[in-house]
Amino acid sequence: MTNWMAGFADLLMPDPAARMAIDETIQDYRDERAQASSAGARLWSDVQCVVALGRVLMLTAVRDLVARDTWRVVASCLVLSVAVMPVFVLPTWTARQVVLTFPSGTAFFVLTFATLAFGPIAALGLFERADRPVRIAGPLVASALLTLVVMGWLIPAAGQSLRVEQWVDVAGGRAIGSNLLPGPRELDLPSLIRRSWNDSWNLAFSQALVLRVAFILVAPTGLLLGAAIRRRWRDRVNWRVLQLSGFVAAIAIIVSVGLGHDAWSMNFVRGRGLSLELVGLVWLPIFVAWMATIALVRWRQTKIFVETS
Amino acid sequence: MLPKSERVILSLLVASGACYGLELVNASGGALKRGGIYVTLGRMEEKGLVRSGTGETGRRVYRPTALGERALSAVLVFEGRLKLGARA
Repeated sequence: MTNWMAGFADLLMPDPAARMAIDETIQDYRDERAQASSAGARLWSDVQCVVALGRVLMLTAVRDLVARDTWRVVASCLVLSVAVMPVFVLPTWTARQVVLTFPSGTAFFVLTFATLAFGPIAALGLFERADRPVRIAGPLVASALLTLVVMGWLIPAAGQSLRVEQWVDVAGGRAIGSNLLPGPRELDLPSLIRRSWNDSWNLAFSQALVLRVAFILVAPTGLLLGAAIRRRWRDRVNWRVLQLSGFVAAIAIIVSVGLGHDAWSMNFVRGRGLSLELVGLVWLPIFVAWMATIALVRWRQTKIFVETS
Repeated sequence: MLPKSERVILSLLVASGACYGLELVNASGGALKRGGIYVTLGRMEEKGLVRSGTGETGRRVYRPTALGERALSAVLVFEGRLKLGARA
């Protein structure tokens, strides 16, 4: 097993039972690979090992997902995300406050900014201590599911309602028609996937889908990067400093992704067409964060045993 | 009641006495899967249904505990009575 795979296993499942499952699975793989006589047999044992490790990860994540600790972490992150929302809102308050005059505006406002704040808050590693690492597989899956639901269904629905209310307000209550059909950013995830698939000529839907997926991945990416930072330097750097570093790194991801997305939207609105480069710009911070996470988890803690005789 | 995978593991362990994880997978005829079996065995060990130790080859060997054997026989008796009840 490569260093980064072992590092990820250690990061996601620090508890002995899960590590034992991983170690035994890898030992099975080594035994079988040693007996494999042909290249085909070796490749088959490689495939079986990857599938078996994936199964261990999935079962562990499911076990962690139903654990009370997972939901304590996720619920705390949610409450804190709503509490720190003003920090994300204040820089653009003048442009945003008009939204709150519409009934759907508040829902759209809270959902959007609380979801953006969720990633950095999750990156703090709540309830985790330097001497007591917690399992993050559960919170990771829970945050991915949460952002999937919010970004996939709730925010698009709230955005569409808000636009209808604004249109009705402008048109004096007589606004019905094709102008109110949901756009790429207002379609729920299944509809967006369907439109991207069926209307292959329409780049707006496929690019909007790619951007939506980026936003769904932002919170889990921040959580994973924060955990990797804490694991990498937990014995050397003050714990609060590590928590703050994860928080700042996750904010950097959010801000970069947000700026890239705004640039893509403005480019589209101003009639300059759809820019694939700007889609790449949105994904760049996520890609960098993944590379940084892999680099951090590759480093394994070495235990120094002092021999006494 | 025991989950199906735990029941299969206990049946195989009671029949053979002690097994490695991969031996259980191979003997189960597809009922147990690689990787996943160790998560199940870890859970069973926490429940006290099996115990593990290091075998001659250095690999972890699993054996049923007295509690595990009693749990399996209780399940078999229960299922036997259900079948009798269904026939009647």
